[in-house]
Amino acid sequence: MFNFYLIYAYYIVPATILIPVFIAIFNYQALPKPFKIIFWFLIFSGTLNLVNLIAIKHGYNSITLINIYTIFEFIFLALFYSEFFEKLGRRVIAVLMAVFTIICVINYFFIQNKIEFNTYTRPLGAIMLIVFSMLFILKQTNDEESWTDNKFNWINAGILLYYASCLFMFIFSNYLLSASQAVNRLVWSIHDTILIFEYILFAVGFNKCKTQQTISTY
Amino acid sequence: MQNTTDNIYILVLLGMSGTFLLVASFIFFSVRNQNKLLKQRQKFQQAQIEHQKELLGAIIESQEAERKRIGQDLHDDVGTTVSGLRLLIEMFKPTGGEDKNHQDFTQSTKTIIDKIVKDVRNISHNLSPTTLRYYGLAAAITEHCTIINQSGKLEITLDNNAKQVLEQLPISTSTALYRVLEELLNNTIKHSGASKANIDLRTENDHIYIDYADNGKGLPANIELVKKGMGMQNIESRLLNINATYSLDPYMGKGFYIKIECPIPKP
Repeated sequence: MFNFYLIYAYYIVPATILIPVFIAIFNYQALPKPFKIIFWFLIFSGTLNLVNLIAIKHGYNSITLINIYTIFEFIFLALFYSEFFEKLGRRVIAVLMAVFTIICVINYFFIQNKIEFNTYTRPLGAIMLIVFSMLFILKQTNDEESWTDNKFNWINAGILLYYASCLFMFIFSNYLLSASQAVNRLVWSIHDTILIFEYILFAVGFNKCKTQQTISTY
Repeated sequence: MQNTTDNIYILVLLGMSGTFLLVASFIFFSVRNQNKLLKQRQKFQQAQIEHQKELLGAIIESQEAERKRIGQDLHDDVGTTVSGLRLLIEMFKPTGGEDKNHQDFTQSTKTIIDKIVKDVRNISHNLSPTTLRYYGLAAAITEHCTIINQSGKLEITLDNNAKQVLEQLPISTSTALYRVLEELLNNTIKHSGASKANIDLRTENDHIYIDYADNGKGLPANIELVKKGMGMQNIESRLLNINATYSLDPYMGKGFYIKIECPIPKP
């Protein structure tokens, strides 16, 4: 159990990010702008995760990295959603991005600045992303194509599934610090599994971007 | 304040699993719902297309009937009357005996009348090809190609590997295919500047395949523009009516190429 958890959490889960990344690189030319944003989010996320793992291995505190990650994670995903909104929606999202960044910086320097998780800002970001995701669903339901044919639906499903399911974990992260190792591992395993789900859904979305040949047949 | 005995970690786990299930089922239901709506919409659209096809069929049928009537009237009435006129002119003898002016007049009138007879026959043939009705599609195409070949406007090579099937085709299918080929040849002569055209007919797996190619200037890069033209729309509606499909090759600088695939109707 011990070894398996470490292999799962430190190697398998971070490596699954490569599935959507490789599919995205393979189809990069055919990727629409929102997908390119998600691609760069994955690259950023994977790189920071790698740095984080190395930092943990060498005994460094990774709270700063998590704070930086929280800001950029929200900015990337908010940029993704802003592609689907009109002028006003885009402005609101831009303002939210700026306000969220300011809140994160204040939280990091003055409120949760020691060895705690940023349990005020990360859930806030997650809640906003859930709201964006719901608004996206509201907009896309009017479409005339099948749910599975719309490549953006897969990305949205991944985001919604991950941020909604892990919201409780984000809120109670600091309580988990004082819990036993077994409880921590159980919670983090569930988190990691949901993360794999997210990456797989992203991968399906990227795979739907393959260049399609048009045949002039009636 | 009373201390709760709840274990916060179990609550976190329950919260996470519960939300996961909630979101997963929400996504599942919205997928199912959207696909259901889409299916209903497609069903409705299919019914609309079927209805439009029926209307199109009725229009084409009445158009053909009208063409047949006009063609027959032209051939029987105008053709016969003009032939009668020719006979009358031939029989007319001036009282003062034969003179050169009269001979010239008779000759030129007969030439004009012959041209009228020929034109009337061609027009009535185009309006309602009798060969198609009595001898089938293969004979009608061959005849049409021979007329064009003789005119010297175009050199057509006809490769017919579907003779038996073409003879047994119902008149609606053979008329549609004949009209399509006629339109294609017309386009080649009028617009392509081609000197040669090739028609290849064959059957495979209950389908008739027609490959039509010419060595003209081909299609412009934007195929959508071509599809908006009257000629192509005619071809499209004729083919749609007999459940046939076609594919066009975009401009390659090698001439025009169209492939038609028509299901053989079950008797």
